Amino acid sequence: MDLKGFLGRTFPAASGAWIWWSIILAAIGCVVVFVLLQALPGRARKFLIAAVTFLAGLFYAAEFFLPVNPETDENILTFAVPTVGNVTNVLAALTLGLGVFSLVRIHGQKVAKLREGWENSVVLLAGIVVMAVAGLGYEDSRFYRSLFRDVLNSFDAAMFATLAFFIISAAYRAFRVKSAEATLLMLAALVVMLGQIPIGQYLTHWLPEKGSFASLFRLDSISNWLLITVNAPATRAIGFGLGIGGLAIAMRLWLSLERGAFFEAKAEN
Amino acid sequence: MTHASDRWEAAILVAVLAAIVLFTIITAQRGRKYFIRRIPGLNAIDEAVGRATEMGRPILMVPGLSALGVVGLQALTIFSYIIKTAAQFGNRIIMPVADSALYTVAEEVVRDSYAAAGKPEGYDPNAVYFLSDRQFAFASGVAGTIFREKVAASFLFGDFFAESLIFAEAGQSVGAIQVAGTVQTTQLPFFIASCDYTIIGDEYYAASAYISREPTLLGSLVGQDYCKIIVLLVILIGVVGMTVPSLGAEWAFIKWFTLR
Repeated sequence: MDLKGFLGRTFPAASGAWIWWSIILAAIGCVVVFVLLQALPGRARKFLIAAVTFLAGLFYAAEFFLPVNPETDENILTFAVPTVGNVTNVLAALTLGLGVFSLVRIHGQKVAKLREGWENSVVLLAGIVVMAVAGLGYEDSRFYRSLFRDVLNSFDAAMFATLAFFIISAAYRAFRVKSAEATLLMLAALVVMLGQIPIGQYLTHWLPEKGSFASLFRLDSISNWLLITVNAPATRAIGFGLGIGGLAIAMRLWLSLERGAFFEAKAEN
Repeated sequence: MTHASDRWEAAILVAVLAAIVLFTIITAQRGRKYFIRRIPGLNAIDEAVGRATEMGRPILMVPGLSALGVVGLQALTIFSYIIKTAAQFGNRIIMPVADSALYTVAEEVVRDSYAAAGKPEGYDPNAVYFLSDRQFAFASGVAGTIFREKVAASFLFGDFFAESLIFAEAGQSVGAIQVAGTVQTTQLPFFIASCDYTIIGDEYYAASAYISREPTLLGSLVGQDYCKIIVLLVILIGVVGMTVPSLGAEWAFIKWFTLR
């Protein structure tokens, strides 16, 4: 079965004015679906949402499990993956507009009512307008590059730099010796840190590097042992749990079994 | 691995694990009772909301940089419960969001949670807002909110990266009670150091079952535990296989699970 060929014949690539007609028809189709969804009774809406969710999930599951042609590494659905991905991107782009609208609404109200900190909101709104104009009209200009590189990236770097200070205050609290566990944590952290820096390695440099029992007591050896033999398995164990948990919740969402939570109630309303 | 045929054995394992989860969900729906252990971090939610009520200061909920996916939706499910509790006490809530798609769902979740709590008039349209999808722009916006509003409780659930410590330390410095949970294992140490309670690993996915006690979710949770037992057995057999000289890396079982 040549699904790609069938779809290609049924929906030939649009060109010329037909592109605009396609966009208009798609927009009308979206409005009709939206109105239908609103008009449907709760039970029917729930069924429709469950069916669409199942079919969307089934596409990716089928694309993954169906055997592939060893020469092309594709099956009958692989050709559609970019198209389905584009649909997701279009939806995400629409929601970005809603997000920006939310930001402008909240800060616009703040400026209009001169609430506390309205000056900051003016700067934010001006920033949105200037960046949008620069990005849309002058993308290759020095003005845009300067705004992006000199202003935005510098702000990002400044915010990232604050982490250094936050790490110190967090580490201070974490390493305070309040209990046996905290003491163990502090000692392990001390050994790992010493094992990573030259002065720490110097402290036990007189021990043989390898080939002897004494080499196990070098700070860098203990540090490596803690990281590879203790830390890595614990992290992997958490990873296994997360992977299985993710699989379970994905199954529940796919099969619309996410009961007792918000989403079922929403579908029934 | 982009297709099952690249590694049929791994695909079969995934299918078996999924079948186990489905099986336990069905048995739970048919009335089988399952036990769920105490998770202190989730019990602390009510404590944190209560403290915010006493202090008369807002509650902050941050889904991190989560997109509209499994992690983000799970965060919203937890927030939905918190909002219902907060609505009963008339607490103000603040939820800045970094992903525009998640923002649209979050807005609905907050509105419907107030309605479900019987307090639709308590919903503030400005409670949920999109900030920025740039990591540190979002971080500075959230940190600024924490300092300005002096939040009493901070709930950090979702996908967090380098900005996790900025949120947690900002909350710590204003004296907020903080409960955090993330699937990003690299950020867990930061949350453990700075937050009062941290949800670790798959406890994050257990949260909705723990909170709602709904049979379907409990069944799913027990299914996950069965799956973990299988993974544990595989690891143990692998360790024994690699330890016994006559088996070793050439043993079919080991080769089956060896990364290629």
